Amino acid sequence: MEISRFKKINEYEWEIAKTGDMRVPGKIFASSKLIKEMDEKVLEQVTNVATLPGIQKASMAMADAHWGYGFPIGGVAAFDANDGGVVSVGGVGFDVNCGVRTLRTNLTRKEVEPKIKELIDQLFRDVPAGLGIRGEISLAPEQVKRVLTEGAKYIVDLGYGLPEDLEFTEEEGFVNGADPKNVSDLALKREKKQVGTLGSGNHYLEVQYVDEIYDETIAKIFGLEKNQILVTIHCGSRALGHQIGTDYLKILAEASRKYGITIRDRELVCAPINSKEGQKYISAVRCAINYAFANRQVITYLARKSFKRIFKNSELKMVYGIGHNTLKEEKHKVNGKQKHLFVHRKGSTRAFGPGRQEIPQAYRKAGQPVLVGGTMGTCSYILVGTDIGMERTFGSACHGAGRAMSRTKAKKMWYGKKLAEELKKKGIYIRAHSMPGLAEEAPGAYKQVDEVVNSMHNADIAKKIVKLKPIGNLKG
Amino acid sequence: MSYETFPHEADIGIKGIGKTIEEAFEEAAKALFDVEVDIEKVKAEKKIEIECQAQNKEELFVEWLNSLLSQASLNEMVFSKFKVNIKKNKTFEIKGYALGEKLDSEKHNIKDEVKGATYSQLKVEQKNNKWVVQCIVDV
Repeated sequence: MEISRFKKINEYEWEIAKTGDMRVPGKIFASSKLIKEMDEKVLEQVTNVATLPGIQKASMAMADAHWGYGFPIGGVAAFDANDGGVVSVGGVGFDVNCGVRTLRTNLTRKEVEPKIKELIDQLFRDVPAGLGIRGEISLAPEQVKRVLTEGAKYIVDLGYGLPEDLEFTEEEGFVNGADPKNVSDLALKREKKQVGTLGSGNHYLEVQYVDEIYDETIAKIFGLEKNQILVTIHCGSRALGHQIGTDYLKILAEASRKYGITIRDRELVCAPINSKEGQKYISAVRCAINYAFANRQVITYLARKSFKRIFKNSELKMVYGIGHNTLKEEKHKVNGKQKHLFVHRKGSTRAFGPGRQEIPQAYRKAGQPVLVGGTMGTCSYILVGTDIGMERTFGSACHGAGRAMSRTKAKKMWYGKKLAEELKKKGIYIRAHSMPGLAEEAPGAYKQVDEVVNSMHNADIAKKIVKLKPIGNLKG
Repeated sequence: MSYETFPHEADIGIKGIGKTIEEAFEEAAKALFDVEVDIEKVKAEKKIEIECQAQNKEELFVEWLNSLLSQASLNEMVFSKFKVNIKKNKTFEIKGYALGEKLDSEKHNIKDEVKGATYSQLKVEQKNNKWVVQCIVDV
């Protein structure tokens, strides 16, 4: 994008002036290098979101922003119901509460590296992944409804986890106000034993080690040490979540007409928070949020079992779990006033600063861990939320590296099998359910994760705590 | 007539071209499933009826694609042949069907999972005696 179209607030914060029917300005939090490389569509989408009723402060995009549908990926927008605020499917996406959870082990790189092939092969057998796959756990329809209302808590109650898994999951593993009556029969039927499945696309389970520590004190609080082996799980709410997104795309399209909401683009269909349709959507999204928390909990259970088979004395404990495609009701200060807002994060991670009640007691003084997934060939990061982030971005940060190249182009540039061989030479062992899918996820198809994370760090929105490097990856 | 995919930074665009709007919808459905698998490897064995409706042609197109995805997922199938009939009453309605078989990861060369069809880059247009329909699908 042309950098001259922005007003520079500082090196990492760029403003799009409020013009025409924009209700607030647009803001991108990224280095000038990343902004120059971003697709024009990001600017257009940030601007379009700025026109939606009840939007607060600014329509934002993080350093990993790229062209999405409706909202940009990396987009953050908060709405006030008392100001006519809306909720939008485009602000959450089809894969509701797609997110990550990171587990720390009592193993070191030295112990795991010689057995990485064995470990990933075991995980490949134990963790169901790929298109249309079914899980190991079969839930009766009544149990599925309990997953929708009680999320990971219900799964832990069933015996697939530890109480502390919940303590270190955002919202303690489930959000209130999820009523399955707002979820269609079709969505419930599509559930089809999918709890505990990774899915496909960019979803993965990665075995990593702590390569670099930037803040010893906070790393210690998060239980992290150099060369320690971690496991990160990235997946979402599967077919059930996709169907909820699909159902409400249509419902909100009709609601936009009914309530006469002017939208610049059809993909921004929305409903007032204080409308029947808006409330139903919020409730359905919460069901999908809970389902995704439950999904990652079951995968955690499966991963622990796989680890035990290879490393008898292994222990996997939660660092943290969080979603990055969400719609959350949160308290934030706007112009000095405390407000209840509905925050859309579409490919953006909540990054709450120190002291927030939502952060587990053990981490509260430090701030919330922010899990940023890189690519399978480069690295990932754990950051921590800050007070500045609370003030500037409603406590939100980037979620990944962000694509820099289309899937179509990536498939022309790389072959899955060859890519896996190249990564193996670099010491990263990959198993994938789809080889064309693997090519689409080639590290070279993404932005430089270092540049993305440094933008967040230098802007003081989320500070770097550790860098993680992969040694094994299981792809959907 | 023909179908194709086109690039999008994060997702994939699908396009169907036909002499009639119905044919364009059918072609686009091939593009949709070709994102997921090699559709020439999918036998048109089992028929699944598809019905949907929407306020306008554009939303009908997205409904058609999303109905196909829902039915494929529900029946654990992939489709390769399609038939569409469009009627305009109070709303636009499709009565049609899809033909396919059970998804087989060995046989069908799985590529991507489509999560849903979106309103992004959505077009249903008649140009030079041809219908062109397209949108971005979320993968």
